[in-house]
Amino acid sequence: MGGTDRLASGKPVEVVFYSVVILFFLLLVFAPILYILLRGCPDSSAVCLPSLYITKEMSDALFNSFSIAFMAVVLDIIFGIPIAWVIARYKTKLKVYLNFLVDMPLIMPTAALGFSVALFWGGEGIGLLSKGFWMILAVHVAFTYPYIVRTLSAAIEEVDITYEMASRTLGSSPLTAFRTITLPLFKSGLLIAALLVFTRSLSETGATMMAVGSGQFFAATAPVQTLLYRDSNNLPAAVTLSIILIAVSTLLLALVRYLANRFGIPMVKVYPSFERYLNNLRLEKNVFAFAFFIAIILLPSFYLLRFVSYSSGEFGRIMDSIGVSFLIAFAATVVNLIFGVGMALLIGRNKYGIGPLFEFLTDMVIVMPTIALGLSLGLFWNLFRLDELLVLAMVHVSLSYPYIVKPVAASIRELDRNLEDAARVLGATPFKVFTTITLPLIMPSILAGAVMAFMRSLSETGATMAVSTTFKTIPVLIIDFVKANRYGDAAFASALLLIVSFIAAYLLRRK
Amino acid sequence: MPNVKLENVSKFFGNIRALEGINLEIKDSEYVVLLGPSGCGKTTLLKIIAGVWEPTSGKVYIDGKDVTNLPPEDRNIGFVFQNYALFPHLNVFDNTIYGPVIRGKDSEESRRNAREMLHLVRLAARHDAFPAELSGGMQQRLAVARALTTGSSLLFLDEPLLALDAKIGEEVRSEMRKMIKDLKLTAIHVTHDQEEAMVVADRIVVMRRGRVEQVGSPEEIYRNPANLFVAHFLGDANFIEAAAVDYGACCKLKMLRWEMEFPKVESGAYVAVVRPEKVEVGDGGAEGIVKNFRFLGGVSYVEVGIGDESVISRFPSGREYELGERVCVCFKPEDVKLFKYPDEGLKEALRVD
Repeated sequence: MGGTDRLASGKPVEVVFYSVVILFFLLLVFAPILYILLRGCPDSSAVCLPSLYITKEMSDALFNSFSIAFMAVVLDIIFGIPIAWVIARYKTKLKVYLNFLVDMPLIMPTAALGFSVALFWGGEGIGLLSKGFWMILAVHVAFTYPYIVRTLSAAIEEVDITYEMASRTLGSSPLTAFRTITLPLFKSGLLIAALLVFTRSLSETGATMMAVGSGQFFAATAPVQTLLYRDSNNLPAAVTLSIILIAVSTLLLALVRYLANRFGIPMVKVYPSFERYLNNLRLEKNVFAFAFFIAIILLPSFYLLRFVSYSSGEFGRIMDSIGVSFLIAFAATVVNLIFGVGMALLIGRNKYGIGPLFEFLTDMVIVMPTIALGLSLGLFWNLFRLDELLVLAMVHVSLSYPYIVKPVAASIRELDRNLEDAARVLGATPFKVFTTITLPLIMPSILAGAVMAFMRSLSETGATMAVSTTFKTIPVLIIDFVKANRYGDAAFASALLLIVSFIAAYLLRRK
Repeated sequence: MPNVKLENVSKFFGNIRALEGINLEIKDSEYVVLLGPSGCGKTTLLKIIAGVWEPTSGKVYIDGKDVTNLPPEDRNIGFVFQNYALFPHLNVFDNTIYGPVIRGKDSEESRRNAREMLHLVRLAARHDAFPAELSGGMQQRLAVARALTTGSSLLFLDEPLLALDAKIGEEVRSEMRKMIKDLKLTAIHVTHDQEEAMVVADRIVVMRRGRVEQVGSPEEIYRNPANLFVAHFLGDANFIEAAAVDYGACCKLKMLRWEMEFPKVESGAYVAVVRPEKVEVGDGGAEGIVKNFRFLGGVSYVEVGIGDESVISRFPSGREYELGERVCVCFKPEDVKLFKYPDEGLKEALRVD
């Protein structure tokens, strides 16, 4: 026993272990994603660079993508901060319920969510919006909102409440205290939340498909346009758009990481009486934010449940798709658990000083539009003429990989190193320290990461559509139903998926 | 001119009674210390006076005005937090001027005022440093300067020396008292350290389990503790089980296999409280065996075992004792504070938590 422990703790084993982890990431997760940059087109006989000519259609799609992402971020922040503040600062039951409600849209696969939101606003619901630009915005606000509230409440929670109290004893109203003290102190959290939402919005496909109009109301975001190009076999155009999306996302990520510690929120201007007046309106009761949350996020997200109707003979197809979806999500999660925790260790411990580099590369995978990712991966793996199911699984491994690495790396970083030192002093080898101290302590975040990776894979549409021809995952099937105007079946499949996801999340969380 | 009055203030957290029926008056430019073991409710009381928390019942008056329902920002107070709560994203000067700025009074005058305040706490040279770059003592002084720049003459200090090293804390507390007195401020200071309380306070409020046990000057409280707990918490004391026996004109106090004549009290069981510096080791009195002897510099102390009790004497260093030496201890009747033997037992009556 002692011998094996000692061997497993040795330097050579460590080097081999991290080499495998790095190789797995670079060769199987990362390189395939960038393949699209090297090889402009799928025809292996010729290196045809993507056409640099950007059509009006492309620039329209890009414009739509950016303006929608920008507006969604602004709306999310305005209406998300109050709710995040309640979740972070209140100690009542309200916090528990809100926490649960805010998470609910996350469980919903984005295609189903987009479908539901489109139904709610469209002719089948309250009829306020028709498909097109504004409908896409409504969809994007709905699916990004939980991300921003989650990230912001975590960031607010990290700011010591004593600062707010100190500010108030110095004479500021609660609102002024929040704006001048808490807000600047969690600005990097705010920036990161904004980036997350912006890139999520930029890369979303499944939900957006549900809101793309037709004729003069037609509006597509860049990922959807990419998908349309691919479906009409206009591959150079699809590749061009993908490359632009990859470049922009990477640039944004780099910019935010650079800015995170540098930009300041100026506090000099203060309007004591105006802010006091605002404060006395009792906005901290968050009436508007709550109304927004319920009317714009919650109701539309689950509106589709009204439409559930069972039509003949589709049950088998739906169950098949759910089976495929779960198989792929499960396989991807297991593979990522094995290799992702190793990467998390490397990043969290900053081994060999290459932690930040790999953190950046992992972040790149998160912000990358999944349609571009799918397209690239499809091209790459088809080089080896792999089975379609295997290609699908590899695509999902790539896109869910960061969702395990990020939370686990964060919790490793926060781990008190004294605990490990204490174990060493008590006679544990490094390997034993890992299995008896480190692993149990980071287990909650490993589980949380696994749940997130699983959910992410389950609800992914864009990447799947970019590679699948015969196998349909459940979000793809839902889109097929909607395209065929079979709303009842789409709602039924969504509801079924919702129930199964709910049970899976519940079971996983209970462990 | 700020004075503070509390009427029947209570605070419950669910079923826990943090404060019960506190009545207290604090006069203008008085330095009052709320003293008690942790969990006695002293910080809760401070935060209620400051308005950070609301009392469950009772009233708080500042300057004779009922401020019970006023939020902290409208009470015109200065508050120094336990960990100082210096805003980490603002430099020394911006921290100091935060109060005036936030009230929309960012004038040349308030800037001059802030600079003067920084000068007063000897931080003028560090005006562009950030809190994390300051030493513990500097952070403490900055916290005081920030609290005072609001122009308030009512200052709240919540364990302001806790985060400092012992030696620096000793310097800072005398300096702080001098400054507060020079500026004629009213100060309410919370601490669990009885020595700190004695050094800075005009008046000490001794608290225990959400109630006020005694209010008085340090000397009053030390010489005339209201009960066994106060005697125990402020300074050292011997607690000796005693019995008083009535002899007509006077009475006799029997304790430690020894007895002394004592002014007339009711017969019964008592606890005699004697400060160690009042106990003499010499001829006569109760005979016992030296159980411990320590040299502490200027003073020494010796613990003498008598039966299963022991008595501690503290005296200016000079004489030394051997363990096991047979000695006698005695003290004068006027140095004995007599308390009825508590129903709950001596140990329980002295318990600090």
